[in-house]
Amino acid sequence: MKDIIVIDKLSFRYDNKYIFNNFSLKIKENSFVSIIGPNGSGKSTLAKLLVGLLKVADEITIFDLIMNEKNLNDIRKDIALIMDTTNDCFVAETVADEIVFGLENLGLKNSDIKKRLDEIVKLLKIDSILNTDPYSLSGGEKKLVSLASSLIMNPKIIVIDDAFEMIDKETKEKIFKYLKQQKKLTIINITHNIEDVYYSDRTIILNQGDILVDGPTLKVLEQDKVFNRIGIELPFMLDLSLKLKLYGLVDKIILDMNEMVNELWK
Amino acid sequence: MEIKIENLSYYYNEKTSLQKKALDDINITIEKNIITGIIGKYGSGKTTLAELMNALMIPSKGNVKIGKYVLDKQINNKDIKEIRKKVGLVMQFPEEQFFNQTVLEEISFALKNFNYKVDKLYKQVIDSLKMVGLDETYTERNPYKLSSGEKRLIAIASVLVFNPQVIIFDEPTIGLDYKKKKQIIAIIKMLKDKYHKTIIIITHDVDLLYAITDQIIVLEQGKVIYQGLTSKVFSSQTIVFPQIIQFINLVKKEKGIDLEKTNNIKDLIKDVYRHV
Repeated sequence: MKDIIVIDKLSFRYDNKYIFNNFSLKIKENSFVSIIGPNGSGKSTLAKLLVGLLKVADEITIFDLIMNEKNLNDIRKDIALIMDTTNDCFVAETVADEIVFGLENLGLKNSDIKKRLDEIVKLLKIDSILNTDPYSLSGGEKKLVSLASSLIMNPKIIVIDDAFEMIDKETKEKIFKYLKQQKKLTIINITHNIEDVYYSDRTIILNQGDILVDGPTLKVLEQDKVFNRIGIELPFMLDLSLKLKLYGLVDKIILDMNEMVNELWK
Repeated sequence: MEIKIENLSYYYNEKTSLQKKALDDINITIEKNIITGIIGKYGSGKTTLAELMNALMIPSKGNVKIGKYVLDKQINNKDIKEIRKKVGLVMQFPEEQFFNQTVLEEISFALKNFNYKVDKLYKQVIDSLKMVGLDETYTERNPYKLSSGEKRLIAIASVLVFNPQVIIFDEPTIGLDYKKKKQIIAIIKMLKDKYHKTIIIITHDVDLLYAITDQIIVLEQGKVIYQGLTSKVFSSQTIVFPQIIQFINLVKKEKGIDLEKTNNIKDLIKDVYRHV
C-alpha cells in the first residue's frame, strides 16, 4: 500500500510558540489511523494543516500532490475535515437539503443523490430529523448532519478532529465500524479519548508536537504509563484489563465487558 | 435560590411547518445550594432546558420560577434582565464566544452590560479570576492566545464576575483532557461548598455526574424519565451507570457473584481476585 499522506520536516508556530518543529509522518492509503494526545499537543493544528487551513505547507504531500496554491483546491476535493467545535455554518432550511447541498452543486442526477442520501440517513439514523431546521438541532445532532454532509461527497480521506464527543456510544461505534468497512477511505481520527482509538489499525500518541509512540493500536494501548504521564484518562475496561493482566488473571487486553466476565469465570 | 419548573414545554419554530417539540410537560424542583446533574442523549432537550432557565428563550407552555421571578409567556423585560443576573450560564464551548482583545475586557463585559458601577469593576474581575485559580497577570493577555484549559477558565470567570446565585454549566468538561477535567470539577465543587451557589450541570459524561452531583435528572425525548438523589441512583435500574458499576452488576447477573460496590478500581480488582 502506498503512502497517501507524507509530511516531511514540517514546522509551524503561532507567534513565538512552536507547535511543530521538524515533524514527519507518513500515512498509508486506506488505513485507519488514530492520533491521540492531551489538549495542546498539536492535534487540531495538524488537522487544520492537512487541509491547508493555517498555511499552505509544501512540507505536506497528499495524493502525490505537494501542497501549494495551485494544488490546494484539488487536494481539498478529496479530503474532508470534521471539526471538534459544533458546526453552525448550515446553509439550507432543512437537514435533507443541507446534506445534499454539496452533491447538488456538483450537478449530480436527482436519483443518484437520493440513493446516496438514503444510505447515509440509514447509517446515521437521522430519518426523524430530515425535515427539521438544522439550527433547531442539538449539538450531537448537528455533528451528525455535518458528518453526513461530508460522507455523502465520498471523500478519499476523512479527518475527524474530536468531533464525536457529543454522540452517544452506540452511534459512535456504528459510525466507526461503517467508516472502517469503506474500502477506499483513509481515516485519520484525532482524539483525546482512548475509547475512540479502538477501531483503528494504527495509533500515534502525540505530545507537544512530538510523536511519543507509534504502532499497532493494541500494542499502543499497553502504554498506560505514557498515557498517565501526559494526562490521558484510561477508560475503565482498558484500565481493568491492564491491571488484571499484571496480576496474571487475563493474558490479553479485553475491552468487551461480557467477554471479560466470561474470561475471568470460565 | 430555588428553581421550580412547572408543566414546561418548548417548541422550536412554533406554529410553522418546521415546528419541533424539544421539551414536553416538564416538572422539576431544584433546591438551593446543591449540584444537580441533567443527563440525556443528544436531542433529549438538555440545552433547551438550560437556555430556558437563563431566560434566553420564553416557554411555549408552563413556567420556570427562579426565586420570586416567574418566566412564562407574560414575563416583562425587566424581570428577564433580573433572571439573567441571578442565573449565570456557561455555554458549550464558551471560549468560542470570546470577542475582546484582553481578558480584562472579556470578563468585565457582562458587568458593563448589566450597568454595574465602574469603580469596582477591576476588583471584581480579579476576584473572579482568583475563584478559578488564575491571577492578576492574566488581565492584559489576549484570550485567543491562551490554552484551551485556560480559555475555559476565563469563560467561567466571566460568568462568576456578576455573582449569579445559580450557575448552569452546559457540558463543562467537553473537549478537555483528564487533568483539565479534574480542575473544572474542583472549581465547581468549591463554588457550591465555599460560595453556596446552586449548580446545574448538563452533561452526557456519566463519570462527571457521579463525581460531584447531589441529584440527577434524566431527560429522554424532552421528558423527565428519572429524578432522584445520586446516592440512590446506584440501586435504581433506570439510568446509565459508570462502567465500574455496570461491571459489578454484570458479574452478579451472569455469574451470581456479589462483588462489593465500589468506585475504586484497585478495590474492585482485589475483590475479583478473591472470587476468581
